[in-house]
Amino acid sequence: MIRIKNLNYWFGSKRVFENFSLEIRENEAVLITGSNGAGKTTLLRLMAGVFFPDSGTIEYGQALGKNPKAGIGFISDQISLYQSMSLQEAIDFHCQVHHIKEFDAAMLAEAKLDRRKKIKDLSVGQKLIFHLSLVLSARPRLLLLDEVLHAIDPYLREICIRYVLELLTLGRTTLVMINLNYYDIEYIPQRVIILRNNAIALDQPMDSLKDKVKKIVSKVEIPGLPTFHERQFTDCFEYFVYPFEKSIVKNIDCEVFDLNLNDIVTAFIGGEYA
Amino acid sequence: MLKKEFKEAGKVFSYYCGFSMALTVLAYLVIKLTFDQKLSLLDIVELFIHPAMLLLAFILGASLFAREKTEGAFEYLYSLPLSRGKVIACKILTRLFYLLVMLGIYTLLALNTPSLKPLFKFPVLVSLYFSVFLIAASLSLNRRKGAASVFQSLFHFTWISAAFFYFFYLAVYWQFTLKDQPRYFKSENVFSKIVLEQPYGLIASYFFLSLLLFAVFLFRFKRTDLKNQGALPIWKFIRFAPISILVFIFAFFIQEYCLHGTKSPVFKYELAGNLLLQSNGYDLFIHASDGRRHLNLDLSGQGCHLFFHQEPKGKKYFLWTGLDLYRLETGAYTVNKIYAISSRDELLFIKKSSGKLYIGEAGWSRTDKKQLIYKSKLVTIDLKTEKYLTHDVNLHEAKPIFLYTRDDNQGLCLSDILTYDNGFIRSLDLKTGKVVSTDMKLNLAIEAIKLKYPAFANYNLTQVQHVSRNRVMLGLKKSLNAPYIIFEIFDNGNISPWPQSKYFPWTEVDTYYLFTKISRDDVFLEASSITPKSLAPIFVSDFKEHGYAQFVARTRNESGYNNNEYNFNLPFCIIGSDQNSDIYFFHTKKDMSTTFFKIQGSDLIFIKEIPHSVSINDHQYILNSTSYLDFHYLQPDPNSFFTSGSGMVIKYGRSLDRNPILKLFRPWTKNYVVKVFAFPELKELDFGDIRLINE
Repeated sequence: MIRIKNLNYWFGSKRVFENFSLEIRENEAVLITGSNGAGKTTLLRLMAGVFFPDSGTIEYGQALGKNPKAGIGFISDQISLYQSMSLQEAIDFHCQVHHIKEFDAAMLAEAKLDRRKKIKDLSVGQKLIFHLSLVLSARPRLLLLDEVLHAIDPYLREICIRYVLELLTLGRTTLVMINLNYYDIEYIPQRVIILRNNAIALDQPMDSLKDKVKKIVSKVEIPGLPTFHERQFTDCFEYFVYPFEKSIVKNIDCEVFDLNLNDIVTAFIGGEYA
Repeated sequence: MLKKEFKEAGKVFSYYCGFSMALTVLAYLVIKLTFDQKLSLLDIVELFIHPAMLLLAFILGASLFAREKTEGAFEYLYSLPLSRGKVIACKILTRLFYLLVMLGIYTLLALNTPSLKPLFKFPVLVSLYFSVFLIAASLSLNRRKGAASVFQSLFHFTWISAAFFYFFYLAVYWQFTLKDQPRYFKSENVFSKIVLEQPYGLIASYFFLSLLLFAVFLFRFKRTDLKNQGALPIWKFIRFAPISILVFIFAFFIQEYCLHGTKSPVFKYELAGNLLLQSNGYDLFIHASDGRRHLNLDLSGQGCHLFFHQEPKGKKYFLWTGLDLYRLETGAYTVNKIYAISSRDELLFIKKSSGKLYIGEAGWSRTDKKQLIYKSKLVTIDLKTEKYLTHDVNLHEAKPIFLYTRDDNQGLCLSDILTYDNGFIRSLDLKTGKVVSTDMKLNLAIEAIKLKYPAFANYNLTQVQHVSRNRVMLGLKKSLNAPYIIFEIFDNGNISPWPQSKYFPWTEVDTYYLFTKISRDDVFLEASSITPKSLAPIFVSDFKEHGYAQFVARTRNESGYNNNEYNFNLPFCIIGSDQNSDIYFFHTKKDMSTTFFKIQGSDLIFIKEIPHSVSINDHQYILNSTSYLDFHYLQPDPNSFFTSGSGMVIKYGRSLDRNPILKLFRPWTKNYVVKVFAFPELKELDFGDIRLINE
């Protein structure tokens, strides 16, 4: 769906990406995460065509057609919309630009949003629901969501997730999402990419992620482990290991723990701060 | 997208138009209620329309991305399946549409309102608005939000425009035009009057600059993202400096060659008294021949120019007077005398008449009570004996402003009239050289109020138009809707308004063209003249395409005017007159002919019509033409009279039999045909040698 090759991108004198490459396959649901400033949002904006790479290429798959942007649905963490428009005006404008014949108002009805209201008068959660309803109406082949779930209430969050999942079940949409809260969405991504220092630190399918990332607790120090984060306590040592192979703890007195997505990402980010 | 942009730009347009209209109506009401003037709303529209349109063009341009900035919608806009080209095209086209709507409204107004004076010719006007729009649009993508963005654009706009003008004129104009630049110059010389009054080339090049800036903006906008919102970063302008210089130079040649058709060479004239006059055709500079001193041309009067220079040590003005400055026979300037007079704060006028030179000067002095007053003096220099006399002409200690007004070769009106206030009149008898108090005290404000024109009480009360012996005619210059009122002071001291004042409501008359010439004292041809004998002719013209002139003559006796009125309407645009004769000429713009009349009694006697001729005596008309003659800055010489175009008319005086050589510098066409006619019958003459020098 998207192939990024040797991407370079600068913010002034700060290089955000250096020869960055990534490929996302069609119909994949990908979670991109990492510490603040890792380049997640920039990467998503580059994919959305809001930013232009300084060098390198971003190629879109044939499924997106000649005008890839027509098949991309992008919601940024800023929830960028024409705030002074009424919902109806924004719907009309969006439908006109995207050539949408019929706007799917189900989500608006569920969230009880009045179309006469101005966007600026909506709460953050309502804005997100509205923006998502606009984006989903275009039936995007590539859906890019940038930390959109963290600031909304559980009810609206549930609506959001439900509609995104409905779209994904149709099997025509690739999802790339950025999130820093993983409890609600742990079951959505098929692939997890963790960015660290503007590069990919981890890129694993969700199925094998928990097998590949383990926590090892030992009372003695274990040298030579492929750790990405380790902590020392008064009575033990804690190692976060990636990639984990059973052979590396063979004959070592230790305990191996499974990690959930939240623990894995937290450990990765913790390793960055350590 | 187009629909949204139409709505968005329409909102800006309607808000702006509503605001402008409200402001116009408010101004109209304030003026009407305050001054009780008979002015129409269109009169106020005339005042506001051009600045309002320029501001609209700027606001429409500067607000190109205002909504995206204010509402943080850039990310949404850029994520839409629209190319950058389409985005900018929609935004520009919709705003251009509203600009065209405004221009359409203006055109309709201009067509239906004869009084609405166009600022420039329509295509030039359109270029100007579009330039402003395009430059503002190019600057619209700066980093600020909302109103701050518009102000930032305005700042950069002003900066770019100022840089353009200054670079264009100070660097290019001066470097190329004046090969031997003066080391310093008067500020008014920086911008050529011609260019300021007819700045077609300047606006054309400004339009070119705006296109260039906009092209740069478009080029950069295609690759502009949220990271670098300033698609036209000012600090990066340095990159375009070489291109800009080329543009400026190109613009300069448009200005100088294509539109004005002159190479602007520098002429040097050796003057008497170790002086060198340098002229580029637009401005004059006087140098001492050793190049050490630069002198200013300061004042010019009838028959002479005054160059003065203040010695840094001596605190004295040295006056070089150029009498009969431009010699037709030789094409040379002469300076006859150099005088030194006492140092005063201000030189007011210079007048050569009856072998004497009259110089008005004024300065601050202290009275016996140590009160600081502005004191005026009249210096009279006898040109033969070089006798130097000083007359104290102050009558009013509080506000003794000293004005020189026109004379009729018999007397010189010296008036202390101060704007907004009382006036005092003295006259100088040119035969005796004595300053005579007329004992007339004029309270123009009170007279104006009596006439129910209170606006006069506050505006431009100072226009003393003419004096003849002890009679003074006062014209009150137009202000807002004020008609042109003329007061006449009779021998008995009574002041009465000129009965023909009703002919001069300013909506019909352009006062700049009225009362410009002086005739002999026995025939008074202009409205500002008094009429000691019998006639009071008045000329009126509106200088529009369909201009007309009205010649009105009334006879009067000692007590007032009778009802014998003579009306004569002429379809002409420009009135000219010979300096010292009865001959008037009317130039029509339509068929480019000049018709000559002589005043005889109350009749206009037709003398001759010269087809396809252009007056070069009329300064304004020269400026309207596309090129210049070398004469244009000179005051009319009393012994010569020119009209020129495909033909030239010269009133030739004493030296006719000398078979002189006529030199014409820079005629405005290569195939210039010169014919020479002589007054008073305007008989065509065979000149011995007519040299056309196109330098």
